[in-house]
Amino acid sequence: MTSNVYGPVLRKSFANRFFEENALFFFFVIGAAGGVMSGNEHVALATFFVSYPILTLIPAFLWALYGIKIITFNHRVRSEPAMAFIHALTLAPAKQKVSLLFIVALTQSLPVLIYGAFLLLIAFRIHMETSMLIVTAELLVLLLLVTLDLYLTLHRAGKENKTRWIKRLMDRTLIRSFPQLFLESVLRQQFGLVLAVKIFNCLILFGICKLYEYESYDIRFLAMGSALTWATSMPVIYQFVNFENHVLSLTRNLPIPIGRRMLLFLGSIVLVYLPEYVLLARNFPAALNLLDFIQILMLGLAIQAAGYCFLLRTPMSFDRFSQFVFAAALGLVVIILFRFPIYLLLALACAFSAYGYQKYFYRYERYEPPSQGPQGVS
Amino acid sequence: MVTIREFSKHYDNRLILAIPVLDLNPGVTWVKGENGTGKTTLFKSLAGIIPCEGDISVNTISLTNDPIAYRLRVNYSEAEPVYPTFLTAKDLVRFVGKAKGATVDQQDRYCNALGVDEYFIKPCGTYSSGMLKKLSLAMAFLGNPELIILDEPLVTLDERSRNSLLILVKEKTGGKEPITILLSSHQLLDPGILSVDRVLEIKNGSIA
Repeated sequence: MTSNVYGPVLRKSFANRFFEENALFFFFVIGAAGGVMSGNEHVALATFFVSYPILTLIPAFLWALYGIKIITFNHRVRSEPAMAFIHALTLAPAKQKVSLLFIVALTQSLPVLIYGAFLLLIAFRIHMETSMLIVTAELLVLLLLVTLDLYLTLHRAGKENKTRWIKRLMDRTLIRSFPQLFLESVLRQQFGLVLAVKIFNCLILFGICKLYEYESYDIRFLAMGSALTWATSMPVIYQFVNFENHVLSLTRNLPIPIGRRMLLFLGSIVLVYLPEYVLLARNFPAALNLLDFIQILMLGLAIQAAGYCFLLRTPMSFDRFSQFVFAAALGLVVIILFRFPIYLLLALACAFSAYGYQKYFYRYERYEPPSQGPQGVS
Repeated sequence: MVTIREFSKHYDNRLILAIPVLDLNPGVTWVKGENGTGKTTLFKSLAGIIPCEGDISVNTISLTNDPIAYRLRVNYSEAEPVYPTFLTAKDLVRFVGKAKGATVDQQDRYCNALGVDEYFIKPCGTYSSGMLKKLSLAMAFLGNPELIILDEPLVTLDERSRNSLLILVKEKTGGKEPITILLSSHQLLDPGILSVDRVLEIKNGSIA
């Protein structure tokens, strides 16, 4: 009886909402998987994953990213003021709570479990018992971690929040600059997103740099990869606009010259992307020269700045922005492929950024009409 | 003096507020109006936080033509301030203080006056609404402002802080170079405690 009361609320609050909010992501993954590869290729890929136990770490890595996505989502939902009632669940018997939360974790992890079952089937067919055991263990660990995190998340409200000694020490001794404020904000609020973006960027950049060792390419190959990675980093730029103009909106009242504001933006971005810059510097292809290196770095910054100015000019939802970024990334790859000079691209992006920032910073305003829902005001 | 000419603010093509001509002399101006009439919108526009149409100047420094110098002269305290939970009052006061040209001594003086010093190095996530309000008010006095905009400054303040705030307001408006203070309040302002020089009321999209 009690589980019937709790179950639907948990399912609607965490599981259904997770799939609704990430519908675009799932649609993209299904489209990419179904549209690009045939059935035989899927089987071949799965056979590759389970052919050696060590290779099962590849899907496990992607499942870990998916797990971070679930955990980030659950934390956000739990912290919403409207979800304060959910803590009533802590009064339920422990055994019942765990089973209910396990079901939620199971539902949220369903796409991973389906693919995991597919891998198990393939491993069974090729008699790779060790891989079967490892994949099963990986899936169980994912489920248990998500369940445990949800359990702890729901119980956190009853616990006193204490500031850690390291944070107390930093608060006492440091005076943070604007780039540090942004970095701390984005890492605290979107750690999963930043991590996923960084892993993706580093893999792409590292892979492309390594390919230069085996084949002869000109700067365009790295420029295309660079354009792609900086375009996928645009969610961080969206967070920056949000931080500067909404989370810390008082900065708009501060007498900071436009040029200095732009430098603060660039400083923040350089700080966030420091690992990528270091990786590029350490693995930069010997076939390219110093001028190419500078062009690639500057192109990254210019693309980020152009994205930022585009958002200042046309405030929009994240989903809509993602569509523009996707189209822009494809466009960039194509024009670089067709030998559009990188320095010209760089100059155009810089000119748009400088002009756009000057013109649109003070005009920026994101108006959200009042909600028309049951609790909305008109 | 604050001059406003041909001011208008729209949301989604809907006119919220229009002010053809308005001059504000140094002293305290109390802006009254029911909820949703556009007081906060006017204040945020004057502070340069949101864009608007028209000309706004403080002692001939224009918001449109000289946005940096204008922002140096105009400070704003929100009705319901919210800051990132991981930042401390120290982070915010030092950051805003530096931009506004306030010395560390001045920053500390306002923090002491309003009691912010008691939780100066604690993160904002641990503050009550009153503590956030005091922090926001302390930051509104930093530098050498010529216009201070206080949106509902008395809400959630304890008696001691309220008295300290009123002393600061008197100090700023009664000195050799009096400044303009624009405030809104749903509470009645006792003339014995704070003398208001002018009362304006926003109604039906205009101010009188």
